[in-house]
Amino acid sequence: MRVVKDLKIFSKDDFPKYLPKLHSLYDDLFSAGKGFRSKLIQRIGKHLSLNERQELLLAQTIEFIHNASLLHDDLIDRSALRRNKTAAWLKYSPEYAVLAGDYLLARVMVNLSRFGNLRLIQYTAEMISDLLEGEWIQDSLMRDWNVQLNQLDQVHDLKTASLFKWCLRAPFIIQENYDESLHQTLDEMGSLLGLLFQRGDDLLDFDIRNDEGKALLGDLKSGYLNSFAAFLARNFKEEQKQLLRKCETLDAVKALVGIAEFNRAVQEFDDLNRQVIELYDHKAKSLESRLAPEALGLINDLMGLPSLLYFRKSR
Amino acid sequence: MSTEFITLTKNDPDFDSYLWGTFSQTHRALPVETYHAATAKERVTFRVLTLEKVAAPAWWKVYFWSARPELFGLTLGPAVAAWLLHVQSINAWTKWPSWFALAGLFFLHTAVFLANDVQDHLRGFDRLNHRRGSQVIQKGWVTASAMKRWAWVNFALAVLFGVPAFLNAPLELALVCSIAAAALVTITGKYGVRFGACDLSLALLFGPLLTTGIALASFGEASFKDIALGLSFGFLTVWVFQVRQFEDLFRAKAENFRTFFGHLSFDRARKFALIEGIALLFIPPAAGVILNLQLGFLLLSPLVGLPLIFTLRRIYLAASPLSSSLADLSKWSLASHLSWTAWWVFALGVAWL
Repeated sequence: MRVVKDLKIFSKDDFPKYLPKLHSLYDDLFSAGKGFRSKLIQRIGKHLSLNERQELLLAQTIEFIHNASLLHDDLIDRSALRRNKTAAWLKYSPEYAVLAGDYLLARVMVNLSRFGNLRLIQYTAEMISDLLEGEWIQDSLMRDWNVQLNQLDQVHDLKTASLFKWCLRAPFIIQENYDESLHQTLDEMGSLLGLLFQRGDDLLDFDIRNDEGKALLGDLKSGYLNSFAAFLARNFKEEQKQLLRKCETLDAVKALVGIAEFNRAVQEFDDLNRQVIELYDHKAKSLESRLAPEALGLINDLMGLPSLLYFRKSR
Repeated sequence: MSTEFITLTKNDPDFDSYLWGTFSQTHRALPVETYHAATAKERVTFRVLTLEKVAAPAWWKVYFWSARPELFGLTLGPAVAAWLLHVQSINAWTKWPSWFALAGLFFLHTAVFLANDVQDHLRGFDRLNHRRGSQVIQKGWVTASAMKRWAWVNFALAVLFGVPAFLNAPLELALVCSIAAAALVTITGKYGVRFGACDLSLALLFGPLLTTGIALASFGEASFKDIALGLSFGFLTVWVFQVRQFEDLFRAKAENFRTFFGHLSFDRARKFALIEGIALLFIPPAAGVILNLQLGFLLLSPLVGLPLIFTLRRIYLAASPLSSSLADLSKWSLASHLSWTAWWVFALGVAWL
């Protein structure tokens, strides 16, 4: 079994040299990323004995799509920063940000069609359309201060979870393993992983397990009630919601809610997500009958993911 | 202790017994996740709990909630209004058929909504959207199988109480029942959903068929006025049901659920609901003119329409099927129905007094 190593996702040789600013834009974009999704591909790939070409193709595909969505997302949200750097649409231009994102998506299709697995191309295209639907619908929820957790979950299933589903399923598809019940289970697991990742990420906004130092209250300030904010505000009266949206600092949020109530909400939110993790573990265990004996180690690896994604720590 | 889950697909031999709740006498299976509902690929994950852990309330409380008391206005409102319309036959109120018709209608209402809960549980509607239906099956308080039995018992009681009332006007009521049966077949078979046939059938059932049926069963007579009154209620009721489809629009796409609004795009459904809603501000007063209501009540109608106007505002503000302004639309639309029902009952009641 191979170990997970650093893959070079972005190579300047893959992109034309005559396009001004493209290389430097991509350099900025890819150099600061954690490459979490490509590492997930590798983590799964090592159990399935993917060859290097397959692994690189999948890792590049997911990272290109993810980064294309970030380029577009920052412009839609008018976010000034991406990974603590000036966002591409501000540093270069909105036009270049859109084109650079489109170009990454085009490269994905070029690379996949060169490889020639039609099912993988179809599934990837479906994933991109889910992602865009999620972005579209999320935009309609901006400044919607009464949105509820279950509504946000539906958006995140399209916007965030579609990428996780792809990470879990694509390594099997590239090996031409199309077992329907296996893919159904992986799809459901991806859905739960996406949910947990998004909820964990939304907690960072409120400085919960924020080891990576993410800027606080970014969503709230940009007019978006994220999943934890929606959970926190679930029993708020209208005037409390009005005050919440005006909060500029975390201390102001805690003062509004009360520190004890805030901490209790975090605990209840964690408990809620522990139930999601239990459900995820149930699904992971059910893979046992669907995997080849040499790939069974994957189950253990997959079962460690929810803690990593939600609690941001290895189990 | 960790939770016990079980995932079953439609072709699994145990699938139906878990869905119906007949797999065990000591445990209940609560559906926590449903994929590909109402298709051959359907897949449901259940959380299996002992009966003690389910902690169901007393059976009569479960029965009460399953009967959907919040929707009583949709059936009893038009019925009471239809009675009050027949002021000239008011002496007949003391006759048994009137009271039998009332009891029959109560049991019929309960039977219909219990059966609907079972059907929506099996089809996945209520498993996917926990704001729909009474949710007593999904909470494990009662099994789908038991609820189906309850529905039959209530239906039998409705028939039992309906027979004496039926004898008041057997031929006319047979015609009403035949049209109602055709409407029910259209709704349960989902025929012509795309063209609004199901919604039109609902309008007939909760409108003219209900008011003329009650008039015939209670007094042995019905006129075009009962139809006018029924149309006013029917269109309002179908609108109440239609706006509830908004919150399923997003899911309708994913799970291929078939509803009239599901076939329209969100934008078109929203426009349709707004136009219908605006028309509904004028339909009851127009029916009131036909029924010779007192001018004072007609002048009150803009005030009565306020909940409807608030509901329309929420629909107008919705930017997408997931907008929070649509979240409480069920309550608002029911309040709209209730306000018009109260208006009718007061207006016809005053005429009676």
